[in-house]
Amino acid sequence: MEILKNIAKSLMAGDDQKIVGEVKQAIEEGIPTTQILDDGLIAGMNVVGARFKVHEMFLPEVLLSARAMTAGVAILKPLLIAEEVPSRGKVVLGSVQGDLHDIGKNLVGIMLEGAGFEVVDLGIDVPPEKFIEAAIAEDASVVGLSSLLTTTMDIMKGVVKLVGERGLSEKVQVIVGGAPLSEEFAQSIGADGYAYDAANAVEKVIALTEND
Amino acid sequence: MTRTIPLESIRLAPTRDVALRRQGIPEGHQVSEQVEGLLEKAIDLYESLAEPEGLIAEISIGDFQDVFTGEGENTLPAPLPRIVERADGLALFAATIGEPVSSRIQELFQENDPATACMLDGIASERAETAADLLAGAFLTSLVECGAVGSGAGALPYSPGYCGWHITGQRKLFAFLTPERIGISLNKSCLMAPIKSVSGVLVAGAPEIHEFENDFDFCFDCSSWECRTRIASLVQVSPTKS
Repeated sequence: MEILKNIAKSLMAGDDQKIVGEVKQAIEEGIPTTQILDDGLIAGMNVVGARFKVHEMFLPEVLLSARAMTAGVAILKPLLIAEEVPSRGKVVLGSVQGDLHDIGKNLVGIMLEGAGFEVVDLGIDVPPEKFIEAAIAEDASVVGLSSLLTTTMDIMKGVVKLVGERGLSEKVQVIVGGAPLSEEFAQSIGADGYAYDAANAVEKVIALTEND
Repeated sequence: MTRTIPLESIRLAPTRDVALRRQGIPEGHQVSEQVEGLLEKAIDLYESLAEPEGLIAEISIGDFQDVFTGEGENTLPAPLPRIVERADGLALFAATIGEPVSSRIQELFQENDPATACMLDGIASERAETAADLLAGAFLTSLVECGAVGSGAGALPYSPGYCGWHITGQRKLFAFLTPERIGISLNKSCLMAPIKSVSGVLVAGAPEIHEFENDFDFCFDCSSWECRTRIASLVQVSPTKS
């Protein structure tokens, strides 16, 4: 359908004003809400993610697309709630205790929402216990930990350990990210995944939730 | 002696290329009008909101060892103790870009404008790092002027939270330096507010004192290896008039 292609194109162009009109038009045309979301907004965001990965798009352009995504989803949200459409999954995110850097974590949150996930952002300087409490309270399937300081990386290990101690390992997957981290580090602390950037975080969360 | 250092030059945003590079955009890449617009907006915001201030206080090696030891949480061995032993001068430092910029970044995220938020964040982060370099330059100049170091000397900043120096080291650093006087406070997790603030120790001396092999335990968990860039850039930190 032409309108869905237009929505995807407007999203890729980061045109948040145009996208609002196009999403409204698609609703008026009677296109199912989930189809507008999947074949319009998420389809566009998938292209953005792929182009970002190969350096055809850069962070500011991705964020303009994310803003357009949020604007489009805001129009659809009341309909999705009314139709009881389930989200793709719920992710609890936060910068670990002792770390106040939140830009990377915010980007991951924006990109995850763009990919159709519900995100519970706990903010910065989050103690291990709080991640666990939120994962249980929100019935989240993924916990995302961010850290930029090498000296706060041990806190991540603490969160993974707590997940195990609370018997949540089968239900809650832990993914870590941040400039000083590596795949090897993630494996060494028993995390379920490592993401090197926001787009990669979305890929990893999709892979983790699809394996549930 | 503790002294405030004027940081007027960082009231201005960095160059266009530097700001774009912070967003991962390579030099020479043709950016869209939208991105140019974002950049212009972020620069305007930064220059209207920035309130940079800096502070340094000379410290003896003995007193610094106590500050570095902090609350006994460091990952040892670490490079800094050996670097400091060979230094000609040490000074604790703190600098901030001020609360208004940090607050505006958070507001922009809340207003669903992450692109401007990230652009402003990148500019403010770069300016905070430049503030540390300016303080290093000012400290070095004062040492050169009093004959404590030779003209070939350099100075580099090191901060708690990196390379084995635990973030809890901030408490003793703050007790000695009292950066509260320039509006920087420390929370219970030893994190600074405003967010766009930097603190640590300036280590002055011959450039080679800063060289170390990155084979400490924590180096294997680190993928940024910014230490390599910092050491390589040392020759660019030249004395400046404060």
